[in-house]
Amino acid sequence: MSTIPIHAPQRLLRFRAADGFLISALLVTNASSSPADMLQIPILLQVPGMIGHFLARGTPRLLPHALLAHGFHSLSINTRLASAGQMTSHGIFDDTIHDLDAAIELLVQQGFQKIFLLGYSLGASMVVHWAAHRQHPRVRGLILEGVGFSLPDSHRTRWEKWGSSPTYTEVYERAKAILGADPYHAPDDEVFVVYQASGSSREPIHSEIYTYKTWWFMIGPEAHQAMTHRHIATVTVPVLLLRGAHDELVESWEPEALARIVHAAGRANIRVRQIPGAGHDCMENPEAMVQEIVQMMSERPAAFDDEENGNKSAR
Amino acid sequence: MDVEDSSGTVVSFAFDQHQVDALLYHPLTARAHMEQKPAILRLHGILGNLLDETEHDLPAVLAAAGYSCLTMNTLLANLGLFFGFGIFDDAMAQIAAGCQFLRQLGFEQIVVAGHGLGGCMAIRYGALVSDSATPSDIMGIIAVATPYSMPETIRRRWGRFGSEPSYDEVYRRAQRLFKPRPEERATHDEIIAIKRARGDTARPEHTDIYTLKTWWALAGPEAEGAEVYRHIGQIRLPLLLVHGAQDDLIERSEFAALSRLASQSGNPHVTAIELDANHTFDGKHEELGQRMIRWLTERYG
Repeated sequence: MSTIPIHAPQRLLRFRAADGFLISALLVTNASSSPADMLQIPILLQVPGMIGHFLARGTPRLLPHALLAHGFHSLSINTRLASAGQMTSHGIFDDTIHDLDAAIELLVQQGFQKIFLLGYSLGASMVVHWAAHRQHPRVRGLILEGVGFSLPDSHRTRWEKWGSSPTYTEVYERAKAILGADPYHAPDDEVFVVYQASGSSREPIHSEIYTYKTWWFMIGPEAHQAMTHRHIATVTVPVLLLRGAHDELVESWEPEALARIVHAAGRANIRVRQIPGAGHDCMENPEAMVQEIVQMMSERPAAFDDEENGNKSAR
Repeated sequence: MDVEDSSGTVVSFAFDQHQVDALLYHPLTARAHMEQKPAILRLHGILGNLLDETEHDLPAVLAAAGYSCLTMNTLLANLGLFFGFGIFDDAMAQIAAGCQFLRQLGFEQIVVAGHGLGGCMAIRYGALVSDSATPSDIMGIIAVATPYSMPETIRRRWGRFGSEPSYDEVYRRAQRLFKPRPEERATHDEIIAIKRARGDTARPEHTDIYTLKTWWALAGPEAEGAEVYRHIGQIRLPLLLVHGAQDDLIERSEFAALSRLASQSGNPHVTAIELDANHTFDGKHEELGQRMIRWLTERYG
């Protein structure tokens, strides 16, 4: 039986986004330094993925402790899309910007000087969405783990691959009928289940659950804010894209294509790293994953300097 | 910005190849405290978890009075009912592991408490412990807003709102999984969304989600583990039943019937109280906590 606590030292916090949504968060800090020095240590704001939360297995659960071992702090938040959020009408992708706003405001209020944002899978799309619309001098970089080129396209492709029931088109038509001309303010909404969404059976492991409203803003063909490729060029801080070399959900071309978009916009502050021995969850190879993040969060990320000098890393 | 700092600590303990998460409040280490005051093992309601509002406020009230609390995420927490692994009866071994965790921390007395579905689990666990020949350190059971029978409560609610599909239709589908007729091909587990299950619209807040397996174990007509009336009379421990007078999910008659069954079974330590509260005791956690503290103090000091 393991000893307590899961992360030490930790603080379980609750605070509200501007629109009133209640956010739970776990703050894990390196308390070995003086209070003044502590605030100079970089902190990672971690945003979990689909139906995830800050205690979910894999990256959300493991990364804070791994980073603490390297001296870094972290704040892991449950956004409105955490856990069952996408099965309730309030889990609107576009509104997650308020959750990240609030988390950053909290970190700034606490005095942290160097903030990095890490999003995992769906969380990575949220992070890009935030950074495309916001800038804050204390936000120093983004780490995007398992991010797709476009969340809607990834899902449509996957549903078609497995012959989902209902099909993507059927859901779209039904969503239009239920939500009408103004989906965000639509009074009606319903839960629906998509069978064979991520595998060949109708069993729960291959099924997905949404409401039409949450699907519309996250997966639907008009979910423009969740289309990472549309926004990443406007991100001004350095970006690290991490993909597990065996990721079955995000294909290898996707992070490369995102990086090309940024390069085409005249910026070199983005790099892609494939994590060997890992699937969608890069913490399946914690050493390689943490090494990349530690390098990113350190004062001078050498690989970025190399790339900025035109010497793209060989790794 | 207002930031609320929980005095609880997120902990985990191993169970059956995975980790169970829990929130531990007021982890006192004084030996005398652990010997004299029971720790409260708290169990969440449907779709609940250790961050729930009910789980958030009440432990703080109890901890302030010196009662340490461990609120654990069972198999039925979060999305357990939605994805097939949240089987009611399987949670009993998890609760036992939670008790074992408290023992390893040094607590020598434990009271198991639950709300709604958690109340069903607490009573089922209390009956199992009472039925065992092995002496137990489980000293009492607290069940808040607990239905007479979870399957019956759900069937009645679905019938009241005209659910789609109906209770009988879901039962027939589940029978194909668990008891297929000779001419039927056995089916596999799958997710089911029941509209108009808890209100008169098809909106998400009125929709229930299960898989056929989790429904069978919690809400089906053969879900004996969740039929509280079958088990409450077996409890030989001090038992506190709490009902909210404004509860729109659990009727007062259910609370009265459970209280009667418990008392008539020969258990001399049954206490039943009613507060002016809704099902989730919104705004009433302080009052609920104080009533619990009074009950605990009268029995355990």
